[in-house]
Amino acid sequence: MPDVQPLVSDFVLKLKRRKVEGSHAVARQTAELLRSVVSQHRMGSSANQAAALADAVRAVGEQLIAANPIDNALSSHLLIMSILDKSTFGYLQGGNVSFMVINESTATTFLNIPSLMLMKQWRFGNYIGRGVMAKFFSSSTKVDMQDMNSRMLWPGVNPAELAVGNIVRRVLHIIKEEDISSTAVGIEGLSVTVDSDDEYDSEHDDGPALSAAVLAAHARNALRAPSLQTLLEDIPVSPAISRTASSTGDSDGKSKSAGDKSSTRKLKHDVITAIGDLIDEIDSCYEPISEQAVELIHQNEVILTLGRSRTVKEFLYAAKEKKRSFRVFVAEGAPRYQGHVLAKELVEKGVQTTVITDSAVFAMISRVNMVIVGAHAIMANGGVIALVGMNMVALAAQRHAVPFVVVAGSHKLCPLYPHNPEVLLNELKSPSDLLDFGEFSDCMNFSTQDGSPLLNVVNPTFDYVPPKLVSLFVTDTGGHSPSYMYRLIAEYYSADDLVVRRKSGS
Amino acid sequence: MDIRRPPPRSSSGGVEPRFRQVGFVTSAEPEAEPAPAASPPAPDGLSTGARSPVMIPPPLIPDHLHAPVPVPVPAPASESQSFMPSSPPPASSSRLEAASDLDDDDDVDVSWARPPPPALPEPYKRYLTEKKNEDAPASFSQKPKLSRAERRATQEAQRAAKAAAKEAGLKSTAMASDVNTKLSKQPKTAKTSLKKDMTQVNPPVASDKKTSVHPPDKDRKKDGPQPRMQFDNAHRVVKAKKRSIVNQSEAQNRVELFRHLPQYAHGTQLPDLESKFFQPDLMHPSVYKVGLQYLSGNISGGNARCIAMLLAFREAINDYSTPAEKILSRDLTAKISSFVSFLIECRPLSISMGNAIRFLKNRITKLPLTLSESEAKASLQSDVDRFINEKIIVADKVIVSHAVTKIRDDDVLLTYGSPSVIEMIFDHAHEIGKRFRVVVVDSRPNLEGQGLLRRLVAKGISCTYTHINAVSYIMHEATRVFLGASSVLSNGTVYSRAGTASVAMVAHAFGVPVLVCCEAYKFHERVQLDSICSNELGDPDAISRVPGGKSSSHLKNWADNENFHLLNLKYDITPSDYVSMLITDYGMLPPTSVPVIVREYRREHFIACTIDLLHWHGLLNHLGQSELPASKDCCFDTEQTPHMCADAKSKAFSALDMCSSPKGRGEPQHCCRLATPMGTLIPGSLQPDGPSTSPFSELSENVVRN
Repeated sequence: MPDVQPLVSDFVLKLKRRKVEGSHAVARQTAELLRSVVSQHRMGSSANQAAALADAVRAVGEQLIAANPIDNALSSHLLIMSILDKSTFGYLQGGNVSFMVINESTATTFLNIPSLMLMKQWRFGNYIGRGVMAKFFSSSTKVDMQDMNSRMLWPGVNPAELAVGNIVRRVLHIIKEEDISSTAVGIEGLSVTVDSDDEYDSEHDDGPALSAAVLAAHARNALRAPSLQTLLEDIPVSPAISRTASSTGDSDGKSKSAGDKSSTRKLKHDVITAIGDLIDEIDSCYEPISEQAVELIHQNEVILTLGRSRTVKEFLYAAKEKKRSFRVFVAEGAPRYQGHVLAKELVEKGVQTTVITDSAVFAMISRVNMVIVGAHAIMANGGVIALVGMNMVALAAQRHAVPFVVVAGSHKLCPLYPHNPEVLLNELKSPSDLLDFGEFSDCMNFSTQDGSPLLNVVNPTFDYVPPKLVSLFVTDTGGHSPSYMYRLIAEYYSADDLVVRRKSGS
Repeated sequence: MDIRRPPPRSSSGGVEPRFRQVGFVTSAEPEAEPAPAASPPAPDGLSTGARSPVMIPPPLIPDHLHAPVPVPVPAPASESQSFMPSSPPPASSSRLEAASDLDDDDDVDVSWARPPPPALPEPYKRYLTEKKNEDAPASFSQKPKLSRAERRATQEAQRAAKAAAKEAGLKSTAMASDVNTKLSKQPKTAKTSLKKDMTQVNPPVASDKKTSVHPPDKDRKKDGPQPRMQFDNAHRVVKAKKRSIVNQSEAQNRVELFRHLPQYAHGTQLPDLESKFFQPDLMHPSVYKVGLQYLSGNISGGNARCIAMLLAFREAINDYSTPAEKILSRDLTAKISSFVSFLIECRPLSISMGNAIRFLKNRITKLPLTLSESEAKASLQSDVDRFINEKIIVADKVIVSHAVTKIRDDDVLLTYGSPSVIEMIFDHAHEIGKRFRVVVVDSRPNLEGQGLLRRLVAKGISCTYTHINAVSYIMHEATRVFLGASSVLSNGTVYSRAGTASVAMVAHAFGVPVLVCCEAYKFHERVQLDSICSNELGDPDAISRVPGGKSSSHLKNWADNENFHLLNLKYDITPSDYVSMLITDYGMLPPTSVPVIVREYRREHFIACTIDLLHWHGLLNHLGQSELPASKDCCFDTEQTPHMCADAKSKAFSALDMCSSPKGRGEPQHCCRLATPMGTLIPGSLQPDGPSTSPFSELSENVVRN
């Protein structure tokens, strides 16, 4: 699809450069992008429209998911500061400053730069701006950044915004559902012969029938998805094809012949509407969540939160608007200090707010009635990927038997089961958040005999909270316990989309 | 340290005064009494007894009953006289309250000024003499006769009279009495009271100018865990304010939960104080300097603060001369108290400092009267030196030597903040060629870890630096967690820099052993369950200052909104179950045996200053080669040992370490219980002649690794 490719690569670039951050924004933009992908997708006359569409989405999705921000790939492995000689080499990338310091020989192997003069002049203490580096790169030979990244990449690290993958999977699921429902409607239409061929676009009359069909497909899908038979059936061939084939059975040929073109148009239309609904859902996820605030927050409650989450903010606002008076302790969430922002916002609404350092969480939690935090992603096992430091808070809450409540929209539900999430689903940011390079320039020249740097700085972004530490999830569909998450996720995703990859064969 | 007690407590300690007296009196022949109840450390043992059940020696009462008997026997005439005031009339506790509160400003004023005092105003003089009379000869005869109610009544009367006298004659008093002090002080007090609503003052141990006539009495009170000044008690706060040197202005938007703690706006009073530096009569310059350093945060860290304080006191003692008509032991104690109160105003005392002060005062009270002033001073100075040397410097060395055995090659050692002992441990381990990596976990707002990081890297130790939030991330790598402590309380909780508890908790959750290193002089018999009741509040503005200035604008004018609070907690409490092992200069122990150390340490405080600590530590280190001094033998006594044994498996290794002390070897049945969780050791191997040491160290290594 050459026509969407610019859009896609633009978004990929944005993701890489971390121009888009936060799961809400990412989810929304991904959905929008996929909507345009779907709308610009030219429906061929092939037998499996849905499969083709799904493939198109999958192709884009793959690119998006692969668009891991460059800097984290670098920093995660390098832990940033390593210095061997005086010749140091700084490297700025994307919107986020990240430093890579490598020695002369490594630099040569990496970059094949004929002259290292520039690099020699550059000292660690001198914090160089992006402009300088850009100039440096342009003046030096053509550096294949992508190549460099792939070399530096830690294989297996996939710490991208999980929301991208979530949305791609959601869209795939939507396509599948719509396909099934349209086939079902097709059967219906064929048997009852109500709908004319051309009027498929008008949604009014068959709306209820459609929704019923969606429900039916939903149920069917939900029932089918985990079964061994479907798994065995689906995996060898393109899943969507076999699904439609198996679900429609013998009437398949008939329905296709009946209204091939119109059903194609309808499918596309339906998918686009459904994606539009998804976007709406992402946008409005705060409302159903914050509606539950009054039921969870009582008068004079003392609440602790860490960092800033828009969902938490809306949740607390909602409680405040319902005339609940409560106090909030906000742990600041170093090194990004988003807690300060949240505290300010809460104070503006008249909530009694106390900012504490992250280190004081354990001391204060004994006086706290409830911990309410946001999440970056909720994994299928009920674990939470959240702001760094959250595990500490959750452990402290467990120690003092304080309920640990996670509020998150359903777009943060991720159908993956985490493995070693602290490392694999994490993202290491620039050490400049923690250490001032200028101050520590004198410590940079040390190294051990084997060449590894003496000074490492670790600045992870996320923390993994295991499900046993979470008391409650509040999503836009209500409150759930961690053990229920897998079921909730099964409603949103189909099992065969867990790995978003183009089927090379089909 | 706050010497005033609320009335209920003083009244509850009905038996205390007499018991205490026993302690003081018998202390002349302390070594002779091995029984724990003999209590040369009476003030201490008693006060601990009041708090912690572990330390109540049951035979206290009988002891005190026959205690007066030995009184005259060991004490020579002069000495007994010196003890007289130190074992004041039973009314002491309430008297003290009165005395220290407001009234007897006459004394210290006079003593502090170098020139001999001019004539005292009438009421004060009378009070002074009256008190002296009452003190010296009457103390013994009077004591049994007065009931407590009577004492109380007289006390009240005195207090009322004094208050009246004070109100009437304060100004004239001030003018008439010591010109030197009063002149410099009077305007200041006026200023302070003007600013009263803004100013606040710390616990009035004894103000710079007012001290009691009963220093030993007061001193005794200090020995116990004091009820701290509660700053939500407006009455007390107002009183305290009147006597402040440091014009602390209260921070805005105080957190409701912490009303009972002082919270000041920082940085405002420093210029003012600096300008006063050259007023010679205000405070001894060295003490003043140290106070300012505390205030500005130039000296931080428990050991550094304690050493700085002791050195300042030492210097002050050096420059001290007893005013006429004064007794050195009493006057000096009073003066030390005034120093202490000044230091408290600068920054609340750490527990270790409290212990050091207690030690010093004890030495002062115990000075034989026969000593000349210069001899007494020399003796005190050497006491201070010895305290610094034995309790801090040598203790650190011993801790280092213990802790290094727990470091193996390829270990990843995680530490939090910048504890001085831990740094020494790392240095030493590096020096002896262990290969290990250090993870420095740091937290806002002080970021002390950066200093540690810099020093370690400069020494060539490979370091990883991160913030406390990332501790769960980095804990995967760690194999040991070494933490420092500001104090270890007798229920085994560790009172330490805010965040230590979180680190220990995460380590516990990840199954990484937590080793807390703490000198025994920092142990305290107080117990604490949470971090709220007793803590220190730092400068709230420090939170709003963000490195790099990224989001500082969010909190710019936080104080304008009354709903907005910033809370900068300095300490927190680590529950004892997160601590696998305490490394002290007495060896490695489980946190459950802290009370034993507290008790034994106190005893040593009073009896055994003469015992060479170094020697003993050497013994601990080279087990089986010689015997412990007898008085140390009970260090790990039998009541405590099974307790340790019953501890969780994870603590077995430290118990084993204990067990390798001679007492453990002498008690094979306990050792057997110790060994069973490991399933490998038999009691026979614990026998003195058995090849005990090497399997032990191996075993402990194994356990630690797990």
